[in-house]
Amino acid sequence: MTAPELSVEGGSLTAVAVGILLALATIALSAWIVHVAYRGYRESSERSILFLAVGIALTATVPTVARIVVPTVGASALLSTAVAVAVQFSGLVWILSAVYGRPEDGGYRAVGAAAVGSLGVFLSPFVAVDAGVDQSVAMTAISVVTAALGGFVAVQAYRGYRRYDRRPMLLLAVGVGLLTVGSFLTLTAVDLLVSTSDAVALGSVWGVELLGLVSILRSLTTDRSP
Amino acid sequence: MAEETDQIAAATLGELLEDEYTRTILAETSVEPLSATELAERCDASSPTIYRRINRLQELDMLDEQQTLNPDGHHYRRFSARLERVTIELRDGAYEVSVDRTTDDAVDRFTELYEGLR
Repeated sequence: MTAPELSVEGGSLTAVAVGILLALATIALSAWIVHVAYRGYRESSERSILFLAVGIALTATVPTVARIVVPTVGASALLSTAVAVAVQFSGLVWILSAVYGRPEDGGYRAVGAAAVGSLGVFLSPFVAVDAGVDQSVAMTAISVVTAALGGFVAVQAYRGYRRYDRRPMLLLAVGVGLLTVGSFLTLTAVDLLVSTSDAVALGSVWGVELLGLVSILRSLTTDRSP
Repeated sequence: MAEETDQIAAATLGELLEDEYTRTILAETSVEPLSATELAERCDASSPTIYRRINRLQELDMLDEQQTLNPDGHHYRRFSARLERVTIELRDGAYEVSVDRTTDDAVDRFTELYEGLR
């Protein structure tokens, strides 16, 4: 969830090459997922499915890409984390409102909740840092909230897999889990291992998120007919 | 799963469960959602026979249906039992029959929506 500063200076050429490859693969996979989700919505043109498609796109693709692009243009770790986590938070709210809410009735409340919630998630670390809270604590705090929400969505998807034996739901659960809880845990673990370099930290988080994206893409595309 | 309760006449229920095909349909669809064709195979009965039972069960709100997409793009329906429990009470000279049904919960809705998206 939290993104360390993108500084691969001092990393070997291989590390840089691997980093660029991972970044390109992430962007390509994200674009593909958005395309498939949009096509799925077009085929059904149901409002709840639109909410679900938007939610999956916002949860999976935008944060991973933002985490690559925002630090590359020179923004701080705090800003890139806040953007990624806030977008992911709003994506999860879209998914939950598709499942629990009634998007057919307009769904304006859900859209409002997603907007207000993600704005709150985006602003709170800056407010906290202003108030003297340590930057990494602030980043961890918003990441924990989003990871918990993502964990809940993953568990619901997993229960859907258990109940109906639908493999796509398992892949969705794994994907959402990796992108939210998985990447947060990886970053926390890497943070605790002081000896690792930034390149390793970044690489392992990107690796986990890439696996999450692959899982979601497979979930959306494989076994399309029951 | 959450439940909801309502009442139907004891005679209606008796007539419903007396039928062997109806019992098989309910039993099989309580395990997994099935199409009418699959049900016809499992009951060893003709399609019209099965459809009559399905319609009757749906009138009494004992079956749920889900639309599923075939590889060739055709929609077909699959059914799952909603019946969970029947209670018959004899009180003051009258039978009181209540039926507990399963209702869609969030997990069902999530799975259904996601199938629609794919």
